[in-house]
Amino acid sequence: MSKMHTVDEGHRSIGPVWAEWIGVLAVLLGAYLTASSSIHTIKQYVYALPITAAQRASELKCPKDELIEEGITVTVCKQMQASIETILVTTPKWFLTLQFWLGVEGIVLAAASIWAGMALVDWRPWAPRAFLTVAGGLILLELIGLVASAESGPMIRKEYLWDYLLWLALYIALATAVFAAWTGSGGTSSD
Amino acid sequence: MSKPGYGNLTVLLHWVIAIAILFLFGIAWWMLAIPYGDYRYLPYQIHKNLGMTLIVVVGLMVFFRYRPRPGRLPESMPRWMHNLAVADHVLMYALIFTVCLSGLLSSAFSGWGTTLWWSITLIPDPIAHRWENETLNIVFGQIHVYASWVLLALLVSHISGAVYHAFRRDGVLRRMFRV
Repeated sequence: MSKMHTVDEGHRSIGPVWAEWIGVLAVLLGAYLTASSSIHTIKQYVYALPITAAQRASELKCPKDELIEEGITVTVCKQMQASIETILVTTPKWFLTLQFWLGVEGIVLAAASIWAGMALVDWRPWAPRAFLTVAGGLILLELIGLVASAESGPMIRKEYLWDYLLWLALYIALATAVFAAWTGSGGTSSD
Repeated sequence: MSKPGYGNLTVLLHWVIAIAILFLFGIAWWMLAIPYGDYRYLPYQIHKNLGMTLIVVVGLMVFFRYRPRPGRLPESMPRWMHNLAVADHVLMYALIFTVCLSGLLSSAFSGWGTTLWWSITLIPDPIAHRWENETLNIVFGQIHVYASWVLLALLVSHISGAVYHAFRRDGVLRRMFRV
């Protein structure tokens, strides 16, 4: 592996190639995950609203004039009602609470991964360690979410498991890449 | 020697806007799959309030973009590429304002009042009832939807451009990817 620092750009040297490429991916994925975690958090809050089963029928409405504006039929709206009902009926309360807090922590860590990714691109000596720390936290969150989803019945698995698996794989891959490149270039001792 | 990239505030605002726009798309697609009622209320209000806030935030970013002025682009960059980048940026700013303003106008003609983050009344309910106009509500709603699809396409091209510069290592990316 080549030396850590390559060409001087004036006031700051440019880091290694691997740092810039992985950093770019980390920032793009981090931005997407921050948005995704935010939506995820709000979803859990909404699903946990204190609306009883009896009240639900009046809170999942299909007014014809509004449907015309949105270009959907009453049949489609009824399916939307059924879809929400399925989520509300099959999701245990503990799962909603856990998902809410996983979402909140996900927002923080995903935003931090953007910062760590930019530090890789802009090359700061502490960037690899910072990224590995943040990625480790995200991997742990995804694992918890994965296990919780797997243990919560078929409808929850269908809704959540695939996304958890995807993000887990992505951050394991990124963290492994940073670790391999950083330790392979002798970065841990000198930087 | 002057710094080659954008100022810290511009960088921060850029990423806040990027995340906000991604969030707005995602929450819109989710909220439109929820029937009318209490379950739709919160995501709808968050979408609307964030959209209104984005008008101000993007305005701030455009204002601070040249304070301080970033360094020159690499000499090696072809003129057509530079022109394409300028067009992409200008169009994106224009579309963000179009999407946000059309959304606000669609809501203004819906008959419902508008409050910013549940605190500042922008359009009181009585005025909203007087302004209610289904045709304008639908027209601005359509502009909102179609403009947002064009914005999404431009975002993809913007991100592709960033990745292109990253893998060319020509220094362009580091103007915005900086800590």
